[in-house]
Amino acid sequence: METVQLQEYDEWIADHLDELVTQYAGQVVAIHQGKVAIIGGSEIDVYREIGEVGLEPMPLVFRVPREEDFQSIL
Amino acid sequence: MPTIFRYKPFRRRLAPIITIGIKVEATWYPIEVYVDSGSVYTILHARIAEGIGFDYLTGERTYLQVGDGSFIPVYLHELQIQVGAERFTAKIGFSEKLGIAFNLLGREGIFDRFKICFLESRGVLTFESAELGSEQV
Repeated sequence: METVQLQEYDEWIADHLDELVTQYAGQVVAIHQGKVAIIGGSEIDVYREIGEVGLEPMPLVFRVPREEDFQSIL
Repeated sequence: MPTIFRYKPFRRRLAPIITIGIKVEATWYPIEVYVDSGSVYTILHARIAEGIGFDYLTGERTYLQVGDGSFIPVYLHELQIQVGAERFTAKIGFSEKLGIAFNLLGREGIFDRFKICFLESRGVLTFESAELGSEQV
């Protein structure tokens, strides 16, 4: 995978994690070209839709943590 | 050249979460992982494997002890991984019993390959290669 693509996803999550948790906590999102492209209830649903739509490069599929998830990890 | 990742800020707290690549069959998948020196292995939620159609149950089964003293099954596979510009093979586990929300980037095959600096005061994690024969991309 292109290094710059990984960096872009990493930067995007750093810039948008707060709003993702506010809007999509507990859901699975696919990040593609700087925006939330797909929202679903499971990884199976989201990866299936990625395949159907044919998104390239491979989106970042991310199950958005809930607020309490950040507090409970040791 | 070290790879620098930003901590991920959430409600003014910082989480050492980074984006890496995992290659399954012919496809690279970007994945978010929590950098965790307390975990022996890199462990991903089994639902990711299910999502991409990877039969994780064919891996080497082992049991790892977690915080409450119980043991969870983990299925280990040798997979290609990419951290920054470096690609190499590492043991990646999948578990349906991972009791936290995050995937974990653990020590095996990772912490012996990089000098990892957690510099929370500056909000960055630095991965510096120990040059153990990885592929640069």
